[in-house]
Order: sequence, then C-alpha cells, then structure tokens
Amino acid sequence: MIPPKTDPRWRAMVEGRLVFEPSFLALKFLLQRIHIRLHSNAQEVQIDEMVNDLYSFFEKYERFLSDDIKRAFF
Amino acid sequence: MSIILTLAETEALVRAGKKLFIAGEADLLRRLPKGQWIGGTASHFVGQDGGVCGAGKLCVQEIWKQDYNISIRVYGVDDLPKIPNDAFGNGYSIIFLPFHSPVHLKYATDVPEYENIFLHPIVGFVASVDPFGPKDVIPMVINGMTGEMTSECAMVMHVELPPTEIAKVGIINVYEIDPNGPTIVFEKTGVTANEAIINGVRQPLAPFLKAEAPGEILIADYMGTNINVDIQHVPDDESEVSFYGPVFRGIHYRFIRHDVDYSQKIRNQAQQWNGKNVVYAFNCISNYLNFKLEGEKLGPFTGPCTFGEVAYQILNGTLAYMLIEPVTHHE
Repeated sequence: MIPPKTDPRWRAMVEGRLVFEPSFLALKFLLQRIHIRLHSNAQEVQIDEMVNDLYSFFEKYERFLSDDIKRAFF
Repeated sequence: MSIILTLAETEALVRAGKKLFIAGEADLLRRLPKGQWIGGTASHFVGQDGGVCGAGKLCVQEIWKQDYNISIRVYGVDDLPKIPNDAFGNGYSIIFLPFHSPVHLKYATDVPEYENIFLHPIVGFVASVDPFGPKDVIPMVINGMTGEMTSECAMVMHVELPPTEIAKVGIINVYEIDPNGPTIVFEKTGVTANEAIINGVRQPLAPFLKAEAPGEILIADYMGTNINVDIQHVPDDESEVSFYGPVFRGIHYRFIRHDVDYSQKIRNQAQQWNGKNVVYAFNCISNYLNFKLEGEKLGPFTGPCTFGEVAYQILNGTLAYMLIEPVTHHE
C-alpha cells in the first residue's frame, strides 16, 4: 500500500532526501528526470507536478513495485 | 522471439494477416505486401540460429498473441510527444526511428520530458544500415498498412493488452564504470557537444577524447543501472563530438572499465534468461561487433542489432527487452 499523496515522503523522494535504489527501470528513469529538473532550479509548482508524476507512477504499478515500495517507505 | 526468414516466408506471414514487426534491408521491406506490420532497416540480427549479417533475409517478430488490438501510427517531429497518450491504457508500444533523422534526434533528447512516457512501456530500435556497406544508403522505416517508406518519421505500433497482462521493459548492459577515470558533465542535452566539464574544469571535448580515450564509451549510473553513450565521431579540431545516443545535462559520465571480459559476461547473462518469457529484444550493433555475435546464440534475446535501442529512452551498447507477465492480485 502506497502512502497518500499528501505524505511528506513523496516530496522527500522528489527532492532526493529519501534515497533508495529502485529496481524498476521506468522508475529509475522517472526519478532521474525529476532530479535533473530539480537541479535546474525548479519552482514550487513544478515540485508539486513532480510529486503528482511520481505518485501516479506508483499508483499504476503498485502491484509490481512491492520491493521498491518496501525499500522507499518501510 | 524473432526469427530470420526469407522474403517469401515473410510474405506468407503478412498475407496470412499476422501482426508483425520486421527488420531488414530496404529493398526487401519495400517488396513485402501491405498488411498489419511495421518495419525498419537493419543489417545485423540475432536469430533462432545465432547472429547473422542479414543479406537477403528479414528478422521477423510476430506480436505476442495475434488477437490483441493494434494501432499503427506515423509520427513526425512535432507529434512525438503524443506517443505515450496515444498508447492503449494497458498495453505497450513498439517504435522504429530512422538513424540521424530529425525524429531520432528529437526523441533522443526530449523523450524523458514527454507526458506519461514512463507510464507506457515502449521498446524498439533506431533503424540503421550496414556499417560496412555503401555509404549512400539511408536508414528507413515503413508502414506496412500503406507501404509508406520514410526516413523522416517514426513508425509506432501500439498494442493493447487485456487487464490480466502487463508489459515490463528491462535492459542488460554489461559495461561497468571505471571509478578511477575522469568525470564528464555536459551543460546541454544533445547528441553532439563541443565542451564538457571534465573533472570540474570546462574544456573542449574533442581534444580531451583524442588524447585520453579515442573510441571510448561514456557510461553513467542511473540509480544503480548503467546507461551508455557510444561516441560516433571525434573531430581533429575543437568542433563538435557526435554521439550515437544523447548525453544529458547534469548527468555524471565516466569511461568504462577495460579489465572486464564483456564478451563472456553478455553470454553468461543471456544464458541465465533461458526459459523466461522475453517477448521482444533489441540489441546494439556495437554489442554484435564488439562481442563477436556472428553465429552465436544469446539465450532468449533474439532481434535486430542496430544503431540504438529503445527502452523508453534511446540507449547504446545495451540489450533492451520486454516481458509480458500475468497480473496477479494479492491480498
């Protein structure tokens, strides 16, 4: 079960404060994209969009991300 | 599984109404009848009997389960961002992009920014030509529904999966990072670069590569997965270095280690996959040539070996694959 979108750990993952090594290729690419955007001085609204993107990804692939979810959140 | 077939054998599959994607020489692709297929030019394949330089033969892949819905679409440069949202809600997409075309260059650099790109599995290849063949041949892709052959557009087959199945994309990259080598960071994303920040100092890239590492492969750690970029051309002056894939701004690239037997490593890794349901695979021509895959089998990884492979993004020196797995519901 993934945490609700309001959980501060989503933002921590976007900002690279919640560090883990994903096993799912698309998640690696997504996080890489997010971190590159972040390092180019992302605005607050963009960080919210990144949280949305990340949450949508976990929501769609939740059944296949059990290892990554455990690593990231538990 | 991709199989190597003659033109006549491939024609028979097309006429039987099979949904296919096909790699081979432009002259052969052009002679195929219209049908439910897409194609792209390629010269080297790994087929059922091992690696082969495909003169006169085609590398043919039937889609996983022929009764699934497909949609064949042609994308110009401006349409590329629509690809993920044109895909079926549950399914996958196969993409062929002509090497060095505007769509190739645009997709290479921009795809990470496409809306929903990582929510829709996509694999494919960069259509290529025989690197040892005539220099005036152009990589092409073809829409089998219409017979339209082009070097300007990307050809995509979207395939729908039932809710009981899901597609997963993976890669095998045998190259390892040399942790003692220089760190190279680019300030712009692109398939060419004049300058880079090398060990913290901005400097012209070409003289550095000429002196330090002619013929090198750049490699970066993407959260535990290594991603390569093959260097295409290093000029003698300080003009642009060109790459077979994109370098991304802000990523820390290094050189590969040279004390690893990569040729053996790829064979060992492929064997470990025997018996698994790898439905599609796309390999790199540099792997084919560097690892001497002529006549060699590579476990369940059969398919074309080209100037770039797609696993969401365009990669080099990598084996991209797709699995289709049953969806299991757990408590």
